[in-house]
This record gives sequence, C-alpha cells and structure tokens, in this order.
Amino acid sequence: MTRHLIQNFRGVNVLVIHNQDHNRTLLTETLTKLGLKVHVADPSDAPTIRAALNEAEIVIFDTDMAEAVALALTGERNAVPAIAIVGLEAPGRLQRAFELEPSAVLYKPLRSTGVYSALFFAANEHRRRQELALKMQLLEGRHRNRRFVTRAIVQLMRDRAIDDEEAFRLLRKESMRRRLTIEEYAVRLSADQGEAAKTARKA
Amino acid sequence: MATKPSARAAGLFLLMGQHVIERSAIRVGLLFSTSGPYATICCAMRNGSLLAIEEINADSTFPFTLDPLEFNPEGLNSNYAELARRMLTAERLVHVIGCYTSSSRKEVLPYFEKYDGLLWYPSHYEGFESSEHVIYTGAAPNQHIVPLAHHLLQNCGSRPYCVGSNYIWAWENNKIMREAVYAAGGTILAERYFPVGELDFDSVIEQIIDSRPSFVFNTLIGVSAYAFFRAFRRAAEARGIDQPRTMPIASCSLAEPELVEIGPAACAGHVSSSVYFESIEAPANRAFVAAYGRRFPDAGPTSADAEASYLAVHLLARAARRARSADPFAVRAALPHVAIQAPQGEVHVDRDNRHCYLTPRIGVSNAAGGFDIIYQAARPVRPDPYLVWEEVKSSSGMRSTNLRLVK
Repeated sequence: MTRHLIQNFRGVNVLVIHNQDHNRTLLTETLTKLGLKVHVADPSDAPTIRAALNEAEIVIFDTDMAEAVALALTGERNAVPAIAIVGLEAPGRLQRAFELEPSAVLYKPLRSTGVYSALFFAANEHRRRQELALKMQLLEGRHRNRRFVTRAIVQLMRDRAIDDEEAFRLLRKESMRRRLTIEEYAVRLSADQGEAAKTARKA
Repeated sequence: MATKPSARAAGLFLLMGQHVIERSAIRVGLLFSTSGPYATICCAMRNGSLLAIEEINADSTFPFTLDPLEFNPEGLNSNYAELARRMLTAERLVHVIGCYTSSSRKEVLPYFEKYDGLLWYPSHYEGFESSEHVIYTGAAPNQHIVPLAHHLLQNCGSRPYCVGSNYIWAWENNKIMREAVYAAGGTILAERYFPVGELDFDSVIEQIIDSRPSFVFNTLIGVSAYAFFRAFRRAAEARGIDQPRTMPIASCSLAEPELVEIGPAACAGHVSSSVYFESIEAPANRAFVAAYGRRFPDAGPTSADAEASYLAVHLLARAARRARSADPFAVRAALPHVAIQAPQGEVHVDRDNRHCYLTPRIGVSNAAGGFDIIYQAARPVRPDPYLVWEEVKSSSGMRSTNLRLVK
C-alpha cells in the first residue's frame, strides 16, 4: 500500500468503555497526551455509550465486560475502529470480544507503552478492512454478472460471425463508450434482448 | 537460575553443618476476604493456611518457622490491589497466600510481577492463565468441569438446563459444558444467568420443572446458589417429583460448608465435582479433618478451599527447605522436586505451568451434610489450564470445537 498511513490522532474522538479504575485513568491520561479527545463510559451505561457513539471515531472496550459492551453497541459494531482491552484470557471472553471485530488489542494491566501502537494498528487496519470489504462487494457484483458477459460474447459471435477475442474487444469498446463496466453493459444488452424477444412474441 | 538468597527475601536462614543455629522466621502474607460476599469460603482458606503454618512451626525438621501476616480486602477488588502493593513494598513480603475470585487475582498480579513476589493461589478456577509469579494449588478446568461433564453425560443424559451467576466462572464453565453436550449429540435446554446475589428463582424453577432436563448444571455462587437449591427442592416436592433422582443439580464448586448453608431440608442428592471431599478415606485426610476440627471447632467441615490453602503452605515450606532459601526464584526452582502426601492424595506441582497434579472426584451430597464419593480418578491428573491436551478438538480446523472427554 503506497498511500499515507494514519499516524497522528490529534483531535480524534475516542470512546473508552471501561469501569473507573487505575487502568482507565492511565488510558485516559495516555490518550490525552497523544492529542485525542477522550470520552469515557461504564460498560453497563448503555445510554451514555450510545450518545458518545455519535461522535466517537475510535472505540476502546473492556473484554471482561464484553456482554454489556456488545449490548450497548448493537448495530454499531465495525462502524469505527475498535481496540479490545483483554483481561481474562478465557476463550469465552475472547469469543465475545472477537464478535465486536476489534482491529487491535491491549492487555491489562495497561501501561502507557503500547497505547499508541494499538491506535496505529486499529485505525489503519480498520481502514484496510473497509477498503477490502468495498472491493469485495464490487467484485462480487461483477462476478454475479459474469454470465451476462458470456451470453453477450456468444450472441455477438453468432450474429456477426466473429471469434471470441473480437467479440470481447467489441463489448469492451462499447461499454467504455457508455462509461459502464463490461458487466453492466452486458446486463443491459441482455435486458434489451429480453424486451425485444417479448415484443417479437407479442407481435 | 540463581539459588543464592536475595537480599530482598524476607526470611533468610542458615544451616551450618548439622546444627541449625536458629529457626529464623519466613514471613508469609495471607490475603483473604474474611468479611464480605464470599467470606465463608475465604475463612475456610484462612483456616487451612493457618493450620498448615502451625504444623510447620511445630515440626523441627524445617529449619525455619512461618510467620503469618494477615490482610483482609473485604471482597473489594480495589482493596486487593492496594493491599498487595503494600504487602510487597512496605511489608517486604515475598510469599502471599490468597485470592479467591479470578478478578481479584488479576488485580494483584501486576504487583507480584513488578516486585518478584510469589502468589500461592488456593482456588479452583476457570483456567487460561499461567503466570510465572503464581503457584496454583486449586483445580484447573480439566480437573473439575471436564470430569463432571463426562460423568453427567454418561449417567444422567444430555439435555441439561444451565443456571448461573452472571460472571466469568459461570460463562466459561457453561461454555465447556455446552461443547461437551453438543459433542455427545445432546442439547442445552436453556442457559440462564442471574446477578450475583439474586435470591428469587421461582420463575426459572417453573421453567426447569416443565422442561424436564436430564440434569441442572448450576454455576450460581454463594447466597444465590443456596437459595436456588432450597427453592428448587421445595418446588419439586410440591409437585411430587423426586428431584435428585429425576433432575439432579450438578455443580463444580459445591463444598461441605455450603451444604450447611443450604440447610438439612435440601442438602442431599446434589452432584459435585471436586478434588477434595471431607469424606475421603485416607489417613492423611483423617488427620487433617481431626486437626482442623480441634483448631477451629466452630468452623464446620473441611472443604476443597481449606485443603488447597493447607497444601499451598506445605508446598511452600517444603520448597523453601529444599532450596535452603525463601528467595522466590529459588523456591520456584525447587518446587517441581517436592511432593506431599496431601489429604486428597499425592500432590505435586507441574514444572511447566505451576498448577498441581490433583485427583478429581465426583461426590453426591447426603442428608448428613457430607459427600458420598462415587467416582475417583485412579491417579493424580496432570493440570491442563488451557485445555490443550484433552479437550477441544480444534487444533487443525478451527471450526469444530468438540470435546474429547477424559476417561
């Protein structure tokens, strides 16, 4: 990846979902030093969490309280980068935390070392995941419409007595002229022909 | 590893030839919540520790005495952290026996790591930890929940109803039970959680009785558990149901002092998995039970928690004697080389994970407030805190999480 990675968190709103204790105090201080705007909420305080989510650009949550966090985050997961603070390493806890799709991890007891790395990985990994998801969606769409491309090529080869290479070149040229992907154009062709066939049958 | 006693070690002692110049004292911290929500269990732990300390002090084959220094965090996690710091800094203690809940253990752990202390943790727990600074003398999950699941699936059926207190102990044990039940082709009828301290179980008891489970898997703790046991028995009797026979309650933490709390009307017929029951027929246990009763005449029966604390002290003393030092590194290095004939049978410490080889048992409670032991492992079972070796069959696929149960 050649583009710039996110490395400055000045002014970024971060929501820390963790009960008040020395871990939360240390985390709040460290995040403030790193220039973030820190909002805190207890895991059981769903209204405060939901209100803070409107502004939050990064969420940091306690995996020991993952049930409560999951409840408060209903419908919001994966919208912003999440960092899991792992306490007990029991698989049940980790499973619940994993379902919230964190892209970085911190360990209790927290130290100031590691907080910046977690922000760095969370923000950049989350962006990469989102880009990949978008790309995947796009490719899935094109893949779904691939059969129309095949149909269009076969049709062209038959109608114009050309080979498949020639038919594909023609298809690509026409789709570019219309500023469409080759799949979108093929779908339209197929729809037009469907219409034409229907009209022909009616006549 | 250095065996030279460090200057920080609280109790230094010298052996010169055959002559013990003086039995110097090793100071040992006790960190038990003898008041607060789980005081009953912590009092048993404290008693077990003190009894063992007095035994060591009365035994001149130990070239030192143990000098207990007690602290009571009253069941509050914030107190645990603060007291642990004080014990390891101002008090300069190296060895501390204490903690019951996992959350309290996690609170104190950073200080033991920072100041090179050793925490002797005498409680069964859900596993998934092996700190260099903790010696775990209670049962690991492969020594309590796994044998219990095996027993229940073989003898009661595979349609449990799970009821628990809403915290880590219940979540993790239910997870293991769920995997065992699914692997056996069974179903979990329901999994219900209640806040710690809940006392009203009428509606869930209705549901349980209507759904006729093979057994009830109980992970409620303290007063909630006692209330549930009583109310469930009452409701079943009102309907003319022989509850222990048709839908027994199974737990992996039920101990003798808790049967006292449940009371005589409802204390019989419950299945419990434990490495220790007071009824174990062995000379070492008869001696332990008698000594405990003499020393603490008002404390009631012995229990797994008392025994685990008792053997923590004995392991510490034997390791220090062998190491000729109370230095934490020397003691830890010596630990795999000592074994004790504990009330439950032979116990020794695994050199890799610092948990103990213990002997799993299944007991059924009786009207007298004790347990009849119906199953006992042939030999001490190696501790497996991460359930790596015998449980989850997911190493290759990461898809299947079937349990393979120990015989």
